[in-house]
Amino acid sequence: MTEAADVPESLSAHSATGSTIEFAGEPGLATDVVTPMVQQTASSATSGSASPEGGQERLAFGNSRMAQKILEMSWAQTPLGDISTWPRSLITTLRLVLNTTQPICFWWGPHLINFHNDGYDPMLGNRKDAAIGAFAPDLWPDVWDDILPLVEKALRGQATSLVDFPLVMTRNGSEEATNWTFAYSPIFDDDGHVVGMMNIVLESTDAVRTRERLARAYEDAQEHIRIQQELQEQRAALQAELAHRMKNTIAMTQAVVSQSLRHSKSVEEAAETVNGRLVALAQAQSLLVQGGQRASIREVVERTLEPHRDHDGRFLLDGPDFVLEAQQAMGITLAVHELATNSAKYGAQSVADGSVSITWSLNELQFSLTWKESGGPPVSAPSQRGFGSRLKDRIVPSYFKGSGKTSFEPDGVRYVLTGRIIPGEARATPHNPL
Amino acid sequence: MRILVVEDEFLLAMNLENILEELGHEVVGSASCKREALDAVDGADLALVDVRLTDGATGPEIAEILKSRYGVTVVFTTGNPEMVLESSAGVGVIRKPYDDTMIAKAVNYATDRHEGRQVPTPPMLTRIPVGL
Repeated sequence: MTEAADVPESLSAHSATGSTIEFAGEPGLATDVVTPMVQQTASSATSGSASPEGGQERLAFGNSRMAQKILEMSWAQTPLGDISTWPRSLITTLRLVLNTTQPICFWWGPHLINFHNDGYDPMLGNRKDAAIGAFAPDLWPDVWDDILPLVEKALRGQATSLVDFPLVMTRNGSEEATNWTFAYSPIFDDDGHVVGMMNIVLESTDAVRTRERLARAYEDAQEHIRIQQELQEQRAALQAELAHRMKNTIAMTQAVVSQSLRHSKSVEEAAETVNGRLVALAQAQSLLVQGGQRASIREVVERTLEPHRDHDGRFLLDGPDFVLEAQQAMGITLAVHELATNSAKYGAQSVADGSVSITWSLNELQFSLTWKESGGPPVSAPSQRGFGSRLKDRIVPSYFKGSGKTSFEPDGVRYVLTGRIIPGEARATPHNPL
Repeated sequence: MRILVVEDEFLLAMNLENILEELGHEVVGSASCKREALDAVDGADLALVDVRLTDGATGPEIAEILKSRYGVTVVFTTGNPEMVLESSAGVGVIRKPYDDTMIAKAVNYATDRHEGRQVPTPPMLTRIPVGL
C-alpha cells in the first residue's frame, strides 16, 4: 500500500484544475469511523486535523445528482462528521464512484454508511430519498440476513462476485423477487486498512425473468410436440385397426357372397339371398360401430327383424338384455336373418296370423336362444340343406362354442342355439368379424 | 392333399373348406386357436394359418410347431402380411381377402414344396418369408 506521503503528488499531477491540493494534512479516520475489522495504526489515528482550505475544489465530485445531494446534505451530526473533515480515501472513492455510469454503491466505516451514484439510484426504489448517509442494515433490512455473509467477507478483505443472486425485496411497497449480478469488494482507508465495501452491481431481474419465460416456453413447446406425437401414434394405431377391420369386412362379405352363390340355383335367387344377408350384416355392423364393437342383444334381434315386422303381433321377444361382443352379435344377426327369411317364404310369417316368439336366457355365461314359429302352414324339413342351414346350425354356433338345432315341428319351426357368451374383453386381440 | 385350416372366422373357415374340397383336397380339421390347431393337426400335409386368432396373434407360433414337430407345410393367410414376413415357418403368405384361384395356386405351390420340388413362387406369394 502506498505511503500517505506519496499520494498528494500523484493526485496533484492528475488534477484537472491543476491546483495543488494538500492531502498530506488530511485527517486520518476519526476513531468513530474506523472499521473495527482492522487494527488502527498510529499514523492514521494521529494524522493531522481537518483542513479547512480544502474548499470547493477539494470536494469537486462532478455534476451528478448524487454528487449534488451529498454536497447539500449536512454531515456534521453524523458519525462521518462535517464533510470538510472527511478522509482523503473517502473523497477519492466518492469521486471515482460518482463519475461512472456503472451502478455502484459503497458502505463506509463501522456503521456502513451508504453512498451511491446516479446509476445505482433507481435500484433503491422508494427508499432512494433517504438512502445517502443511511446505515446499510437500516437501508436494506429486508435482505440484510441474506447478504450479511457476503458483506462480512468483503470486510475481511475478500472479494465476492455472484451472478443472478436472488433477493426478495420490498423496495416499491410490496415483495418482489429480484436478481442481482454483483461484485462486493473491500475498500480501503488512507493507510490501506479495510474501511468498508463497494458493491458494483447490475440488476438482472428482467434478464432472469426473460430467461425463465423462455425456458417455460421451451418446455411448453416440448410438451406440445410430445402431445402431438402421442396423438399421431394414436391416429396411426386407430388407422391400422380400421384397416384391419376393413380387410376383415371384405373377407367376410366375400365369404358370404361366395357361399350364397355356391348354393343358389339361379342368379335371381343368389342376388336375393346375397342382398338380404349383406343388409343384415350391415345393420349389425352399424350397431357395433355405435356401441364401440359391442351391441345389446335385444337391439341386435330387433334390428335384424325390422324388415320383416309387418305388424305388431308378428314377433314376441322375451329375454334379459345384455351386451354382446362383436362376433357373437354378428352371429345372432346371421342366424335370425336366415330364420326370418325362411319364415317369410315358407313359415309363420307367410300367413297373416302367424307369429314367432324369440326367447333367450343367460345363466352365468351359459346362453340359450329359442326361435319358435306358430300359426303358420305345416312345415317339413327341406330336401337339401343350403348355406342358410349351415350358417345357423353350424357356423353361428361356432361363435358360441355351442350347438344349433333346427326342428320342423307340426305347428312351426323351432330353432335352439346354445353356447357360451364371451364376457367383456375376453378376446386376446380386439377383432371384428365384419 | 390333407389340409388343416387355422382360421378363427368361422365363415371364412367354412368358405375355405368349401374351396379346398371343390379343389379335390381333404380338410382334416378347422381350428380357431393354438390348442385346437394342435388337436386337429394329425394327418395333415399342409396348413393354411391365419395370424390373429381367438387366443391372440399366435399364427406364427402355431406354424413353427406344425412345421418342426409335424412336418406340415404352412401357408399364412392374413390381412397383416407384415406380421409374418420375418417368419421362416411358412412357405408363403396369402393376403386377405383372397379368391379361389389364389387358394388353388398357393396349395399347388405348397404341395410342390412339401414334396421337395423346387418350383417358382407364384406371383401372389412373392413376399415369401426368408428361408426359401
